[in-house]
Amino acid sequence: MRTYTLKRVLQAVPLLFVVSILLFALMYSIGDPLAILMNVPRRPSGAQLEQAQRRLGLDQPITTQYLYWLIGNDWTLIDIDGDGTTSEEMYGTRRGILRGDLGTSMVTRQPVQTRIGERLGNTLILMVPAYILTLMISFAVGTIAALRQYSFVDHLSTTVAFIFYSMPIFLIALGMIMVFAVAFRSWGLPSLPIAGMGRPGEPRTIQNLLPYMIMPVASIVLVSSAAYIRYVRASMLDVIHQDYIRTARAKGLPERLILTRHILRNTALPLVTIIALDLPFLVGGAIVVESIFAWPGMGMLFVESLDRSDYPVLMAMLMLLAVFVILSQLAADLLYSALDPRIRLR
Amino acid sequence: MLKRSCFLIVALFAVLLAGAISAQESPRVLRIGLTEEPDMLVDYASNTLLGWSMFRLHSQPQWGTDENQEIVPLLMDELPSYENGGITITDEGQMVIRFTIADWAVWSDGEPIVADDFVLPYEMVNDGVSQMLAFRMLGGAAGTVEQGDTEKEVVITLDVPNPDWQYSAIVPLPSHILRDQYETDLAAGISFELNPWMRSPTVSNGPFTFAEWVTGSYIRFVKNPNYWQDVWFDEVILNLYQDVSVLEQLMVAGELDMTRYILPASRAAELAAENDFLNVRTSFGGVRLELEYNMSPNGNPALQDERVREALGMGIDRQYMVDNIYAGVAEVANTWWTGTPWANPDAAMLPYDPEGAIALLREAGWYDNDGDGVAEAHGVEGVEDGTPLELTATTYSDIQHYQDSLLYIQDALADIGAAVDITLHQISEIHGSLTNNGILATAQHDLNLVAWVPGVGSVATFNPYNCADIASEENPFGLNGLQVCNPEVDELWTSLFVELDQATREDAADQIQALMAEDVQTQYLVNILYAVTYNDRLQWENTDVSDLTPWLTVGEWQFSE
Repeated sequence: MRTYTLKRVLQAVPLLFVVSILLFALMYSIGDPLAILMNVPRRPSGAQLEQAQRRLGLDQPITTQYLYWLIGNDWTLIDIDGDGTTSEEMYGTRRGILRGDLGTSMVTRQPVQTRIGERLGNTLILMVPAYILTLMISFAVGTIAALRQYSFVDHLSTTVAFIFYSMPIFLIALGMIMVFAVAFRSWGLPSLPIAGMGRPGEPRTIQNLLPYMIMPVASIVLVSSAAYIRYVRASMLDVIHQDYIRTARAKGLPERLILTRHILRNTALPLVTIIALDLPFLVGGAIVVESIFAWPGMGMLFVESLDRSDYPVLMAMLMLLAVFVILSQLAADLLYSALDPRIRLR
Repeated sequence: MLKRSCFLIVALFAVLLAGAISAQESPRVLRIGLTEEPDMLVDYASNTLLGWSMFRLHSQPQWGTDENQEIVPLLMDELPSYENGGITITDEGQMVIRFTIADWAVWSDGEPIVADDFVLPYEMVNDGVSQMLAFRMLGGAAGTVEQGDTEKEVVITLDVPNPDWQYSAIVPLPSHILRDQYETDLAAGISFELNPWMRSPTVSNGPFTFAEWVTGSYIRFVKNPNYWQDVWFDEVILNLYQDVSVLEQLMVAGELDMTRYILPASRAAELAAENDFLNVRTSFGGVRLELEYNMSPNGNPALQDERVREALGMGIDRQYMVDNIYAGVAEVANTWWTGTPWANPDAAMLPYDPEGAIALLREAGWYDNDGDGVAEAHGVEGVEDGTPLELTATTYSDIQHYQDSLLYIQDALADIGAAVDITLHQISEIHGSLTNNGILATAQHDLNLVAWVPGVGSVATFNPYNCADIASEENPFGLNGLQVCNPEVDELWTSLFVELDQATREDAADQIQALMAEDVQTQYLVNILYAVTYNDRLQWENTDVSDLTPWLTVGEWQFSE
């Protein structure tokens, strides 16, 4: 397994390289980061803009910009005044992503690591509980629905799952705000806070955070569970009708043992792929939910950075997501082998 | 196991709900809603209009303009003037402005404000290391800032006499805190704009001082204990909500006291009509919507003909746009300076006259002969007969009401026989430079529905039709990609920056507007009004709610009992 893991990690290197080239080309086409300076009452002169462009390295061809992003520019002199010579000028300050420097935000001038660091924790606070709840609810409801196929519970869970699956998440989120925050307040009932991660000025404790988490977590759980419940139910029905389950029953094994040892374990196998595909969103954040509930996470940061053509931040976020996609797929493969001893990794 | 799982889930929800009890808010907290976050809080370093405009909340320059655009002293007892010798013109033609900071002007930590507090930002902007753009200093004019005879006297020397010298206001930085760090960073070649102070200026001289910035969430300011005036609010909190629907709900729920981000303004008006406790106050904030014609030689030949441009203008009902797209919360614009004291009321205004527009197009050789509704060329010089009058148009993909405006224009122009094909682009693409294939700089479309920010204060705004600013390989940052150029207008516009006599400047502005109307260079459409939605418990006076000075009187705002 160690050899397999090492091989997969090594295979990921050229893959990430290709992904980075594609992403960089894509970022290059999203617009001019300096355009934001063009439409203000006292806009800078062409010479001032040109100098800003040189300082930020935007005057270089895309290949050079990519190279600087990859390995930095602290080994080369920058022609700040644009006179064509670099003899009296200064060295670049970037070290490149390969040396752990993700760059500097063009908007806030903060290191990209700082920008992402500020938001990643918030996203995990939102997404991890939401994901755990999703899996718990999905397995519980999906299992009951499968074990009691065509019962009232099965029909009810199917109907509810289809309703939430077909509803856009923004509708669920805004509906919750209307009811649990605005309407409850107007009726004099205890209401939930509409948005944010806590009251300004208050320390961020679990007690302070929990009320703010309810609606965003519930929105994600309702939509995600709807799909997972269907997967679990279908997967479990498939397993329930297998010969080895019938054999287990014929052997007289207790039903609980059949469920936990045989049914659930085999049900989990196809679900691992789906779960692995969803795992990167734990760090990617939920763009819509974060935007609506003003949850300052990675999803919100992505939207902000896209709006302002802050491509160093966008590049870093997308690369982080790419790394997590690769890692989660690797984890899924390793989990396959753990769940099913027949699978051998080479 | 299932029962246990269900129990766990129910228990978890119960715990979550138990915590959802709203605490009582401090009665003296002003909560303001934003949809975007500023990049920096120190205006020299900010590249966004929002960051640039927010400084007034926590910082005071030496003087400022009031709601009537009149200059008022802020950190001094008397304004410099020619009469009191505060402003002089040297033999070399430089303008020297001297002022003395009042003894009562202190920082929030109690330290006195001194001349070096004004010299420091000037040095930071011009040290050659900073990436800060110097156009933000001294109103964009070249000059120096030095200490005078005393540590309280500041001397600003402008290389060229500036009629708008009041725009050379400088927001001081506390040199007693920052000077040493700045010198150290400078010696190491580190730009001071990367210093965390730019995002957390904990010592300032405005009505409030910075307390906390939870990125992506809120920025909190607290009352400056050493401010020269009594301030009613204990705190101001700027809350960030990306989603406007949520912002609306927060206003309705009374969780926010004020926002100007419920857009379009018509929506703000609707919201106020639905909720008794919400009010809307509008004013012209300096953003103008206009249709720019591409007159570059490589553009559509039809637009080279003044009659065609005039006909297109006559086909657009601007009042309809005001009434229906902006629900009355806008005003018809006729010139670059409509809505400002510099507007020329006599500048010719194109009427809405679709029949007249069709007749004018016919006169220019464009009329529909084949009955498809689109005019074709008939004997138009340089255009093959039968060529349909098809125009491409663009506007910002990021903003809905601009798209609605362009869709209306498409319909309106179809009625007079011009087919318009729309492509949307992001703001960063439209205003990009020539090297970045900017839409305006490369004149890619025939009609460009864009919004400019000429401002409401000085008449000496940048000239978007500057002949010397035509984008080219040699001048890749030239904004005039549409190549609209009238040398006479250019000369007059340049005089606005240097002419000291107010009457002559006003006359020049009048002439510019008359000439531009004559040339039909651009179809000005509407002035977009800023609409501030606020809870009626908030008592505030400020007729200028634009991005330029939104916090002009914030120190005097308060809640009603």
